[in-house]
Amino acid sequence: MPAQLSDTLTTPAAALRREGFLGQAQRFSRDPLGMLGLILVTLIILAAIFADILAPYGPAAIDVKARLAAPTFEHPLGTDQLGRDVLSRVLYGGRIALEVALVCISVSLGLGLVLGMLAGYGPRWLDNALILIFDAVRSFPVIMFALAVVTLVGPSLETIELIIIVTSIPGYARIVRTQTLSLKNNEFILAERSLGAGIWRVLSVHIMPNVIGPLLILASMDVPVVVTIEAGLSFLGLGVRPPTPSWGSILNDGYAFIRNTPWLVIAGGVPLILTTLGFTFLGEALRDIFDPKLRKG
Amino acid sequence: MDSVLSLRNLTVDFDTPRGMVHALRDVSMDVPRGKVVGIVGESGCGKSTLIGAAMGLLANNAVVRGGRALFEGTDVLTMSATDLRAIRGRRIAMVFQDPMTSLNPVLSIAQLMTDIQYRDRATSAEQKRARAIDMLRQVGIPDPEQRIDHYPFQFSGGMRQRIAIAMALLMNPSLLIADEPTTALDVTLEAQIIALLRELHGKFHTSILFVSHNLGLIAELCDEVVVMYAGEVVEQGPVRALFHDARHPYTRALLECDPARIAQSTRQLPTIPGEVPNLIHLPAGCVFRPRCSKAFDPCGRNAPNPRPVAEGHATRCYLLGDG
Amino acid sequence: MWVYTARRLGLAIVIISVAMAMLFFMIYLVPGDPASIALGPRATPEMKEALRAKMGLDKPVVVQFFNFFVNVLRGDLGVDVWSNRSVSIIVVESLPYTLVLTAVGLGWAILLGVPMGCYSAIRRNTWLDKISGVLSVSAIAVPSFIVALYCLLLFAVEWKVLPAIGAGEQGDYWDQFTHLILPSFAIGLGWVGYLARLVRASMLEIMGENFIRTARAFGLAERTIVYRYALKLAILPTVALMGVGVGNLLSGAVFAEIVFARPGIGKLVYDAVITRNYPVVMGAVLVTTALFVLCTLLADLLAAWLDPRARAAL
Repeated sequence: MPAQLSDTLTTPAAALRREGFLGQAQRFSRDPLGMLGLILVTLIILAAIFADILAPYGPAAIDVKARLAAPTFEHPLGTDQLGRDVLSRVLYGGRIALEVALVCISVSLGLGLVLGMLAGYGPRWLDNALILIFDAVRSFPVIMFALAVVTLVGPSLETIELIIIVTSIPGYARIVRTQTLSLKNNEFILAERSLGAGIWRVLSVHIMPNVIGPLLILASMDVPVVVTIEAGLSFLGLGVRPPTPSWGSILNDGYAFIRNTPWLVIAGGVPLILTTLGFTFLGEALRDIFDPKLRKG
Repeated sequence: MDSVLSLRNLTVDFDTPRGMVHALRDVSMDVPRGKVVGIVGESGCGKSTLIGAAMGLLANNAVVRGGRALFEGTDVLTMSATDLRAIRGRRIAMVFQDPMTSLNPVLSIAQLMTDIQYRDRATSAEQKRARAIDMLRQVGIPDPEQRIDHYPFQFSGGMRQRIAIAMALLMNPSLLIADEPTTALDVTLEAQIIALLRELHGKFHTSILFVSHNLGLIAELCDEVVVMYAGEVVEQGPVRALFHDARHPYTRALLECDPARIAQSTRQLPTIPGEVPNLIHLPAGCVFRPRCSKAFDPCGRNAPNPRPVAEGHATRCYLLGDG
Repeated sequence: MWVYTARRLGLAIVIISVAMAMLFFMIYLVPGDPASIALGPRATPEMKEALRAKMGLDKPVVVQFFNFFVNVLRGDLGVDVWSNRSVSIIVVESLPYTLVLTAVGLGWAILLGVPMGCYSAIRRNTWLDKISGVLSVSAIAVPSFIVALYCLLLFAVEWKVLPAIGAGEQGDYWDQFTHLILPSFAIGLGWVGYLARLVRASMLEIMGENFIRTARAFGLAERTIVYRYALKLAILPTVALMGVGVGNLLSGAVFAEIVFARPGIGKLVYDAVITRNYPVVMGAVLVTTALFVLCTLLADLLAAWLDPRARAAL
């Protein structure tokens, strides 16, 4: 592969980078919602990482004297029906939420990338078959599909992850497929292929860098969706198993005792709202700066 | 003289992020009743701003610095929005440049042509429809009784422009503004539309303000011509005087560059050297000076005022004697 | 038009069939079989065998799949493991509640979202536009079950202005209506934001079109221009997305029905999941999936039919 040629051919990704990181950072700092999102996301991630330092009690530690207590100095967010400190459970619950998001999004991103490139670059029949499967998966209302899987496999953290991964692959794969299709016949790819570059080289060196940007933006906007599904299933009692703290299970307890105390519902809901808002604001700001095209459709 | 439209010392700026764009400067011109007046100039010379001012349809960032735009004696620039709406479509009508995009795609021709008659509350829907059909026939739409229920996308470009003209003339306005109505069409259709405008002018005696960058069309259709350059009227007069006795160097250059008027065959088409000046930072003196082959001492100092050449013929140039 | 409709319908049927196959074969990906799963660890082998025979699990997979397919086409979704009632009947009984809830939720979205987006587009870059923009994004981001929980907490538990539980007395329309307000608002709120953004974006695009300038030049009233000339076009992409909306609202309805203890498909499935009643879960999932696919199809066709250009091209 002659080096001088790949230097002269500019890929669209390189052209995109030309604006410069500083210019983009500057534009970002002028977007108040984006900044708010960034701050929220940073705080939430830090809170999850340092949960064991920040939490005043263990997530399962029981204070028998105080059950369903309103916020006090000892328990800033009150206690649940077993007398566990809600603030500690919220902090550890954040860990679970972000862990699920990280695992699910990276796995489905990876699989989506591979399947999407296969569909876009591979033979026609494979493309059609994959598209049909993607469409079929997308035709399930997500929660309905999740409930069906839970009935079969039984509720657990792994079940949640499996459900989220399966239902989010089609979204990523479709984007990758479209991008691959449009890049496939681009001049720089054709030039590369005429020089004898193999399919893996074309895919990994030229197509990957061009699709990864929009994918990452999409991924950051998918965090709220994933966190919502985890919390939603845990809220239904079909997610993480009981002693494990999760925002959803705090909400489940809160719902059961909603007539006794509003604090559990508030404590379980607010972090969830802040997380979804934070990641959405951040994702939208990033999208507007890096890839305005994504905005439509 | 009785003028339908008369602009007096009109000066308009556009407030843009890069600075004030001085789009129109001290523009005065008239459209006499029953006449066809042409405006000619390169793109960006202020033709569209002039039309916008005449219709009271300037963009939001436009600032009128001075002057008046009198339509039948009333200044449209100070008119209320309601009064303006009342004259638009009824007293002044307009035909736009691109017939492919200027008609609403999801309304049928019948709906479009009924909508613009909405002020005639006394007229029944059937009468409005009949009037629309009649006008479509006059502009040469075959089988208008059937075609009126079709949608714009079902017509060709030339037909759509005919429909646009029919819509404009429907309320029998006293002034028709045609903004490069043939630019988007091919030459055959262009000739047909010009012939149609002439025919309709003969029939309805509507005054027409015809904007074009094509001198040939102006010569064919207009009684009077206004030549614009970089936001100023550089020369205006009767069509015959302008074509045979042009005084301003810019008008002359335009005439020389018109391929239809070049007598002997040349290897290269003539062009006017230089570029249109930046309308944010205007050159001192005459705006045409940087490109003018005949520029001399006074041109750089002060901008020339319009000076009369003959009856109805005036130009902004120092070459005509004393400064 | 007919060719297009037929082709789209065919595709929808293929997609539903593939989805059905997935649901069916999912059982085989799981260790153990539905009978033992349903009966739990304490079941005797005889009980399992009896249930397996009842569910047709003793036959070869291909035969099972074929039978399953044919049965579904005949409207037979199997029998409830516990009550022996026909799943089709159970599903059809609870479906109307969910449909009403979804429709009212969509009603909220249209009633609030379209005017909000329209207003934002006309008053672009004003404070109200910016506030409505932030509200829209927030409404989209916040999970609907949180909205449901907080609505329940505020309006039903703390202020006690609206009922918290159930669908209301049979025949008492006012009572049923008051029971609908909170759950439908909870599931519709996200789509209020979504529609507002969508309508705003397409209105902005259309208000810049040449034909709007033409309409102004003909002195049409601003009201006519906005509603008749612009909104009519701006609504088309929204209509096409309504199908997707129904899918989202159906998912939201599951939570709303559980939070507000309303009868409906969501409550049905939830109770079936808790009792591991797989035939009921599968039947309900199948019906909602088919409903979702059909709504998407209908929305697409409606959007095409409303646009004279697309109508003529089909």
